[in-house]
Amino acid sequence: MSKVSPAKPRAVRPRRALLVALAVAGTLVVGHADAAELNVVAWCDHQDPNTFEPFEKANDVKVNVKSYEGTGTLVSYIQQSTPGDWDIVSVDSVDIIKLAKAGLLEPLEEGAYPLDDIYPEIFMPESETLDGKRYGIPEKFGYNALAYNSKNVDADEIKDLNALLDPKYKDRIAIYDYYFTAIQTAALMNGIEPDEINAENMPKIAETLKKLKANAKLFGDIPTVQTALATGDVDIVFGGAEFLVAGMGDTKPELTWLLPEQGGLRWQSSIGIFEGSKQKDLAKKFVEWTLSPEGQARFAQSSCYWGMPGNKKAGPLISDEAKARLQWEEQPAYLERSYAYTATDPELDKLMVETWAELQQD
Amino acid sequence: MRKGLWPTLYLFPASALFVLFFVLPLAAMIWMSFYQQQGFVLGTEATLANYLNFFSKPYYLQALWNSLWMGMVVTGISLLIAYPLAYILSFHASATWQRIGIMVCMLPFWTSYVVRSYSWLLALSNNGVVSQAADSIGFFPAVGLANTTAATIIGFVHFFVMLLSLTIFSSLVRIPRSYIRAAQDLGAGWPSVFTRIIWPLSLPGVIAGVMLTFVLTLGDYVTPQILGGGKELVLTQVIMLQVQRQGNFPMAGAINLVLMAISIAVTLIANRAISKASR
Repeated sequence: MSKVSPAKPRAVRPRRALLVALAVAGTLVVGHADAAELNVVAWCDHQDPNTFEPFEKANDVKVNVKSYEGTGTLVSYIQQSTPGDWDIVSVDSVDIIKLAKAGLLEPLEEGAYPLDDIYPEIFMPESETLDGKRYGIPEKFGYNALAYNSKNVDADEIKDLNALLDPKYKDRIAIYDYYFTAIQTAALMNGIEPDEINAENMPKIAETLKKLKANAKLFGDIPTVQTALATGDVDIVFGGAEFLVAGMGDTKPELTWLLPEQGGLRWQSSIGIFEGSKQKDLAKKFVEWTLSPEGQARFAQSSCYWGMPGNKKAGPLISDEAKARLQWEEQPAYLERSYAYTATDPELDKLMVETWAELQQD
Repeated sequence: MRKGLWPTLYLFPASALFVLFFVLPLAAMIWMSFYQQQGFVLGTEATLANYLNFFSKPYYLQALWNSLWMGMVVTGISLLIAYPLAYILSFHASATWQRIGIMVCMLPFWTSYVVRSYSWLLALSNNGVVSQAADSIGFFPAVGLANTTAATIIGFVHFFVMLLSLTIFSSLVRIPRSYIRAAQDLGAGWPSVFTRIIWPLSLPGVIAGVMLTFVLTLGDYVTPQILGGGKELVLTQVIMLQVQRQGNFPMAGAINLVLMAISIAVTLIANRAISKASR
């Protein structure tokens, strides 16, 4: 029987190790470059693979979606990238103009897209067009209004926003912490329309917000206020609507939303193509898919958040139950009573941010 | 290539990573903090405006105070719980129980930070297990602690008690038991043994743990954001507001540098205290 000698430790061969590492890295890079891919930077509703799966199959392409949670984050992504990194952008309609002015977007051929099928109320020419050229098309919209638990709250009582100042709602309200919509909604409580907000009436708006804060249990981002409503920690979310509760309809049917008598803010996103995209034909096809009735029906019920499809023709492809959660039939009235996000001048925006920060720390 | 160069070459990947992903971003942040955000682009003139803005606005200073206060409270409570725990593990537990105790202390590190915070949020909410249990035993009514400063403190303390226990335990187990026996042979009672032997010799571990707890609490965003309710913002939340809502990276950078300066100062003070305590 032969003896087994102890294994000798093998000397590390640096040159060989280096060559192996380079070969592995090279394989990864080459492998990455081979796949046909379309890069999308968008709100998280675009991240649901179910929304673009048929597009991927039909065009034999992989869609990569990088989501952002605020326009500020989108700015950072763009600043850190080079032309060609991104093909498609989905952004608040009001911000399309900023991207267009920075030379980042490709003009869109109006005849190539179903513009006639889109709700006419949601077009924002001043934000989506520049020098007569269109840079963005509205694809989805919804509201910043009131989301609430219908088991604990009577809709008739809170349809007047000022009812939220009643002490009976103390510690039952969560405030969605987007200063822009919260301040504008508080302005509506004072009979001030969003475009009438200025430095003179800001103290009055701030006073209303202060009273609202006295009744609020918390300020929070979307996951925070959504969790608070779902766990029963609060009964009302100021600034919430379908994007917060419609997706939970299966498990929490008691959570619903309304647009108050005073109206509310209307969020809407638009889709555009980056000027630096190296595959503009494919990008164009993606925009066509997103705006098609089928794409819109899927997109309206994205797992991240629901919203109204911009294309009216998506209706027949959406179930009655889903339409009920989106309050489909109410849309003509809601569109009339809501105010789309508008661009504010930098000084007013700064004042709004400061008013909000002071309120949160007060 | 001479053999002597290989060790230098081995250092290259780590050094390159450090420079690329720490030194350069930090330098970029410092540089950027002296400019102002104008829409999607940076202004062209260097200015101290962001720093002046920070030190002149009450809500920034309030956020700074909230962060410091939170750091002190969390560190204090964590220390009060962690020291006795480490002491019992070190002096009154068998080797088996010590291993079990250390394992228990490490458990929170195995869970995702975000998941742990959301778990606390659910547990502390109106219908959560903590409120319901407290209500069922009639201890106090089921008040939802979720979305309050108290919830943030609970979330922090849960994590940092374990961290502090480990650092203190590592100091306590190294204390030669012969010192204690010698003191007792000479007639010293437990209070004397503790105050003159155990506490001084455990100080390096206590200071290191306190420093880590304070600095990590100061720099944490997830816990206050998920558990705190947003009615009293800490500095990290204000930084994120600048980034997410405003896209104002220069202002966020300036606030972050103030936070870093405080953390560095605390670390230097702690290092000096550890050196002194170890002599």
